[in-house]
Amino acid sequence: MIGLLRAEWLKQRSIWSPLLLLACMVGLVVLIVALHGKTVSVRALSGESGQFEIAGQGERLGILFGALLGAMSMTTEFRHGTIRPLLLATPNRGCVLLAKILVAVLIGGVFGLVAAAVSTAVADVALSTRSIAILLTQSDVTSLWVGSAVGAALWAGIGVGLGAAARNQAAIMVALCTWLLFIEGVLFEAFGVGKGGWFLPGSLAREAIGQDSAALLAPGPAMLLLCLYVVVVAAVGWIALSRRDVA
Amino acid sequence: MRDHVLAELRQIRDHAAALESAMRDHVVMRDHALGELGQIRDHAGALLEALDNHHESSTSAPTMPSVPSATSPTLFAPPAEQAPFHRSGSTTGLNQVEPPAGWDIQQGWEPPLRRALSATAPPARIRPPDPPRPAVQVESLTKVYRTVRAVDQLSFALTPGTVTGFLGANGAGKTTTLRLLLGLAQPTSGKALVFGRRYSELQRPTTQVGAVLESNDFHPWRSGRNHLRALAHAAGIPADRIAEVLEIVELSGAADRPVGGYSLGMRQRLGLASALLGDPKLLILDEPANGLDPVGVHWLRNFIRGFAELGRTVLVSSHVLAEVAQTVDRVVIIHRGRLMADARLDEVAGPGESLEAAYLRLTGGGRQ
Repeated sequence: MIGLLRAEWLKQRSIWSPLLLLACMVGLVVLIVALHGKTVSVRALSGESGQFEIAGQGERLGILFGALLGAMSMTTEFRHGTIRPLLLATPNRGCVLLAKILVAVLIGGVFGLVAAAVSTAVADVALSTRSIAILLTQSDVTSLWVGSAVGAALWAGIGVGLGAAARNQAAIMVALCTWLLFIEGVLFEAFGVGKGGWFLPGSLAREAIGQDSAALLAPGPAMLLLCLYVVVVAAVGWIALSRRDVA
Repeated sequence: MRDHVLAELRQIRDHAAALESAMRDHVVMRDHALGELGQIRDHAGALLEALDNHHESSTSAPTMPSVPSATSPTLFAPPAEQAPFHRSGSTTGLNQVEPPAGWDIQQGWEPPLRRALSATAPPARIRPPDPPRPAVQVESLTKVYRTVRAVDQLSFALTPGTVTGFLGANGAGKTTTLRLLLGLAQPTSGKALVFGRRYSELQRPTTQVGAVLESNDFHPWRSGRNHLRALAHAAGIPADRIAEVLEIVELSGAADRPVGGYSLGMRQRLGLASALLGDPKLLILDEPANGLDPVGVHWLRNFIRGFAELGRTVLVSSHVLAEVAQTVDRVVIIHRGRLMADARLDEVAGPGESLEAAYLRLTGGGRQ
């Protein structure tokens, strides 16, 4: 298992994809937070919830890119055929999947942390340039960073499981973007908090940062529930990986 | 008389050595049998040496010549115990073998010789060594994809130390068979075993089997060396083996470049390097000559022959019959997933018949 973890870590370090993803994420976080900071009214940004909203934009992108990273770590093996030599070296597919999840969770956590840090910094600059007093406390920022890191890490695990289950890289990436950016928002609006909207995986990641805790789950239970999602998706991925032939 | 004794002693020694070699893989009673056989071999060697020395130092004699005294310090130490064979500490130095206790030179060579002969007969409790286990054993293997029978009741076995060509047209089921063999696909029915086990059940499989199924199983942005490093980590192979395999496939100079810039020949060689990481006993190659230029084909042919000369086994799938004919000892021909032939190369083709002609005859023209 240690060898597999080292192999996965080396794979992530020896190609540019993770760094490109990280760069794209940082660029998008800067763009979106800066636009929000410029366009949202001063009145909306003067309250603590408004400021939390703008600083939390990075977390949304953190979990998206964490999920993409996780999915790519698995689907790249199928896309480039490296799954064949990998499974010849290690026929135990469960161990292969577990190693990929653990490494993706680690790197996904870094993605979430970077996204939150960049988002907070840009929000701080945007608010300052408009002479808006910053109301977020150190505790808010810590909660934002930790929640963002955990949310992105767990979504990276979900991405690996989805990649193992579906294998098609383009389809998985489109599905993840569509779900996290559009579908889940629509479902959340449709169901609302009281009708189970809080149970959606993207919402759980939002709840992990402690935003609007009166209406949603507290960060702790939200993280545990998100862990359950990871376990379920990983189990589906493991079954698919074990039972389906490798072409 | 002397010649007769010498011949018999040589027989004893050779027999013992052969049995000892065969017994190395035999678990039951192996240690005991090896001990006894080693004693027999050493004793026969000592007797031979004694005879040879005597022959050099003595003049011709009509009957069995006298041999040096048992008390002579040059060859034999004084008898110490009444054991038929007594071996001193070393198992390799024949000069250190002491003569059997009670050795009576004047009475001739008969008693110890009989004893030695009787000792070479395997004791009843020791089973004779099993025949060599096939490197690959495929039994009634069938793979059905929905309505298509890709592999149909296929059976064959590979003897260790041979190069076997796995022949068939495109779509005949060669690659599917290899995937079944390597555990990448599950058979619908039947068995595909490597060294007597399913691939997934092998302990450290890369040390037993090396395989190249596609020439392009690399991430184009990753360097050849990092590709091998990742596989070595995953398989638990020491990192210093990477430089060795790169040297073997003559790719050391390009190892740090991204694989995306490699030629097809370089990719084939990197694939081989991946397969050789674990120093395997069996090499499985799927269409390794595809797209190679003549130099690459020549290199590959020499490589495969060199690998087999080490006593290892190669299964090479191909539809380039002319190339196969120059490389393999045996052929397994399949057509529409079914076995058409499994024989030595010279047995498949009739007198004056080329492999291609034999292939077309066996497959009814070769079309799927």
